[in-house]
Amino acid sequence: MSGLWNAALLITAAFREPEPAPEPVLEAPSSPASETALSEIARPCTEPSCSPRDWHAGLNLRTDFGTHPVRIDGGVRFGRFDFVLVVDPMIWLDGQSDNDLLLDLGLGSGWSALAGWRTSSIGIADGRQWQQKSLLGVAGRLPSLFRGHLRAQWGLELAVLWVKHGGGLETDTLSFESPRHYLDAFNFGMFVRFEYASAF
Amino acid sequence: MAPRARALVSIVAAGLALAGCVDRPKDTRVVCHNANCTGPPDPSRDDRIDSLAKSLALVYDGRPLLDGVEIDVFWHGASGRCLFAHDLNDVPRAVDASAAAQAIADYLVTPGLRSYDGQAFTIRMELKGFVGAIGDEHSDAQAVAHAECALDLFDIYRRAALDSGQNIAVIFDSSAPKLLKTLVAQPRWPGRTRSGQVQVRLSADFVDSTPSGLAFQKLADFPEVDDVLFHAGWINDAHYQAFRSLDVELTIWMFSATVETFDAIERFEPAAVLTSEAPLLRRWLEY
Repeated sequence: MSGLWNAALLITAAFREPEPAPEPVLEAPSSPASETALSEIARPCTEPSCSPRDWHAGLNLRTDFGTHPVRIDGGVRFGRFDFVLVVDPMIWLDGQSDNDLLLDLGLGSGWSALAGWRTSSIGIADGRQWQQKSLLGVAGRLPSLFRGHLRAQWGLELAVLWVKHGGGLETDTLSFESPRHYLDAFNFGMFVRFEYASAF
Repeated sequence: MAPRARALVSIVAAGLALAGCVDRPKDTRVVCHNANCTGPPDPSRDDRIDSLAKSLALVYDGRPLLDGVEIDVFWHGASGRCLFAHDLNDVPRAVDASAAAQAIADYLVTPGLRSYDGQAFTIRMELKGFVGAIGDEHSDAQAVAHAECALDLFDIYRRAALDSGQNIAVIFDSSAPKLLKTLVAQPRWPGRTRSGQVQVRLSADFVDSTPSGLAFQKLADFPEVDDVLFHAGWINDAHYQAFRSLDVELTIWMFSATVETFDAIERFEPAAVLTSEAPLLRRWLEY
């Protein structure tokens, strides 16, 4: 705000009449506001994300078909490196479980790049089939609450299915022989994470 | 209702709704995609007589594993032949479509249960909407010839079903509205019926991915259909809601049975799935 006041004073001076005239009485900026602004600048960030490391746990949600819609994630961050494990509690509903191990690399300004691996275990009669995917994506922080303890992140991911195996069925690996061989193996998805975070 | 009780009811309702979204449908039928479904997917072996024979021979729990089979019926414009083929690349090794129809007829006349669920054995024929490279559309004469070929194949199935006492559902499917319109305009067209020993249905095939084609395929361009065929990853929710609002059955097709496919089946609860991995789909449904 002080910049605005300086500008106002300069403009007033430029248009001042040459004849002596009473100085315009300008109301000075209220000192409490200035002090607040200064204290905000000077005050160190106390959010967990500003600390060298934090732990976090929360929900990983999506509406697309890449995984179950609700999963639980948790992890620890050391500097720019955030290690996240996403586990799927909805296995009790349909026998399928989609679990991720992710590395989220901070790029600055709340943005990050992520890479990881997703293992899906799918219950089938007399066994389970496993589907293995690599994950690549980008994510961005959303506004947080409660001094950064409740925070959210939006992400876009590319999941590539490399191999299906298990259940007594023949193993199926990704082939690039023709688009019909690989089109279903590449899938984009979006997710949102809501989590509680705390420094340690 | 007290606020705490209301919150509890809301949580329970949300949980039940969520559970409903992730429950495997029990009535979805398994249909063999491109006559090649022993798995894992190998499109290079689609639409071959040996693949068809192996697929029809699949059994599970002492019963036929399949509820039906799909074949591609391709009108090759350059040679004027009606082929059991997916596209132009298959032409050098392709046999006449009547050979595939006869193999299915032979399966029908074999004594015993012919479908896993004991209902009518489904025979889908995808009438390919191009006569050469993709984009080479049928002339009027080619559309008539293609439709007549499909009706010849239908006669083979019908004769086998009537001779053997088996129930069949023959679905004429295409992504080209013109082909289906030509088909129903033929004097031999038997008419659509969802009951009886020989059922006849039409299917609109939403074959292309959004936005390359699907967004421009309109159901209104097709004659009235009984079934809509789509790839779960290639439609948006508006399409799905539109399909649901109509009195049509939904059929999902796939290249590969992935987590995305399974989740889509749980959400859309289609009447049938077209798959190249019938043993996997059957065991997934039976879990």
